Amino acid sequence: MEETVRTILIINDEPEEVAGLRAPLEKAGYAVHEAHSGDRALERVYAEPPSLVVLDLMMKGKTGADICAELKGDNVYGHLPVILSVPEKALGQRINWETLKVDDYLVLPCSEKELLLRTTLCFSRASRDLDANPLTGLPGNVTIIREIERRISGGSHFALAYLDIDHFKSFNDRYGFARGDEVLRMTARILVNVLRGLEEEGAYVGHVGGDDFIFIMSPDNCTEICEQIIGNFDQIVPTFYDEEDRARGSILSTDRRGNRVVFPLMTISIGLVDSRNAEIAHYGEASYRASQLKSYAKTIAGSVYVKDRRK
Amino acid sequence: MADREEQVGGSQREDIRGRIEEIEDLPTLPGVTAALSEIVAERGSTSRDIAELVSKDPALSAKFLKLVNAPFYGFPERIASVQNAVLLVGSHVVKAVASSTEVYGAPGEAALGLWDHSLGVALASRLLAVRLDVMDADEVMVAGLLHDLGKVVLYALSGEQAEETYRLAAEGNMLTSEAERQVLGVDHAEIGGWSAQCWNFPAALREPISYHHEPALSKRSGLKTAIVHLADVLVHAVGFGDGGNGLVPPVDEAAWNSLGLTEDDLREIAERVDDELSATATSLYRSA
Repeated sequence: MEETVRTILIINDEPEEVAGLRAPLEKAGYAVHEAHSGDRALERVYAEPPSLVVLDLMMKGKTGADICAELKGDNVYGHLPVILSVPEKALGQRINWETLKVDDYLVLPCSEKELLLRTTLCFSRASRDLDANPLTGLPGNVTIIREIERRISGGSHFALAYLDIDHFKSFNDRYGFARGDEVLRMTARILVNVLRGLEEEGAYVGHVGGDDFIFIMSPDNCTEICEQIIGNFDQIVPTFYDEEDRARGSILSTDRRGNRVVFPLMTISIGLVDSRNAEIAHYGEASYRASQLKSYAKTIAGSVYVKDRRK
Repeated sequence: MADREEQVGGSQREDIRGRIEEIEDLPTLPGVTAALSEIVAERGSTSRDIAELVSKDPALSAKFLKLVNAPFYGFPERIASVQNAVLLVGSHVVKAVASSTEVYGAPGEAALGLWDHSLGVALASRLLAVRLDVMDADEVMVAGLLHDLGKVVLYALSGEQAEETYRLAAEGNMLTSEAERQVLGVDHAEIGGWSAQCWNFPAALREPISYHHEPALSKRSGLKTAIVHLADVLVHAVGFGDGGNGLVPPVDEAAWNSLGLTEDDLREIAERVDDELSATATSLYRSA
């Protein structure tokens, strides 16, 4: 089987180091690209995502840590494997792997053999399934639970939202699961971008599974966030339908008993829990409460969010 | 002799087609990137503000549509609206890409004319779509903006060759497409179609780009293609932009009949395009 050539982007402002990395990687059959500054590097990654990034720790201007944080904070670009190259003289420096979320590191100068071994290992590890949802790249249940517990035990206030897509199943039945998957990826992207766009610190998006998502934010602007998410979803989702259904504003289908049914275009329902209003001592209570509100939201037509008002 | 010309044309054709895949950037006008960095730097600016500016620029619009329709994002060929592209790409990506987009140092009249013409056709397409009650007028506007994508791409590939086609068109008193076929062995509609295909644009954009001179060839987006075709002829007739020579391409009769418009409709739309265009073209394209 023929495989497409894997591309590796070297982000490094030291020409000698770049040359030392480039030659063996090219010899091994990788397509190698270079970026010599942080800004240029991000633009290159965004415009033409490589298969792997070899990022240098010691860059002037935008540092390796900055670039790494940018990439790993993004659900789409975050799954690109990153190898951090550390010049030997910088080894004494304390590196916090909790914030510098790279996949591996490499001390420069290094032997050709080691470079290639690290690279293949990185590819292989990246393909192994972590907890991330393979469809959206968002964290899955194990990580979501840990995150909610962390916030509860930390004692900080937060708002937890449970989102699901209305009429997703009828869309899947009509167009097939591949088209359904596109809608899930689009939804994930909207969530990530809205939360990130409002520069919401500590915002969190997880994919529970299927058409269910969770997001966590500070309670202060949670209603604004929900409104934006709804606005964006409602604006974009019609383009995922074929022209005829889109023009009609619904899809025609048959139910289990063979009756003809009309399904409206997909909308979203969000249940929103404010940790200040609900007595939450356990992640189970938080997610149960949010999903209850979500179920109530689903009884209302159109895209809506329902917020917990209990004191 | 004719054989030899054919061969030269043929290999150049293939060469251009191959080079589209390697395009890293679509340079734009300095005024556009200046205005964009201003919006991006402003606190409180929204995706809507960014999208509004981007949708006046064929190069940036193409760039973001290319990004969002790439298989990497997971929904190729779905997004035809600039507004939606900006929302899905995300403002952090828009900022990074916008801040490093290349610009033409000193854009010549031909390039400025191309931008004027593209915006004119975008506005006219939108007005026609609204007039005809087409459901996604914004997408038709994007199709209008990008109808000459092939010319924007040709500029990115070789500014010299682009200028040469304009010179030949002006001197030889022929349509730009004809000049392009003589110089390059391929015209901008085909180059644009190749690019739109290579970048996974939806059919609603691909077909108006490929067939804006021959709307009858459209298979899936006949109405949109007919609208963009008519908008293109209309804007040429009004004499807006395009570094050509004032030659107006012919209207396709079937397309005209299918739309069911009157000449009064056209006159009204031409006037409105005229007003909107002069304002934007001077403030955005010819500033900075």
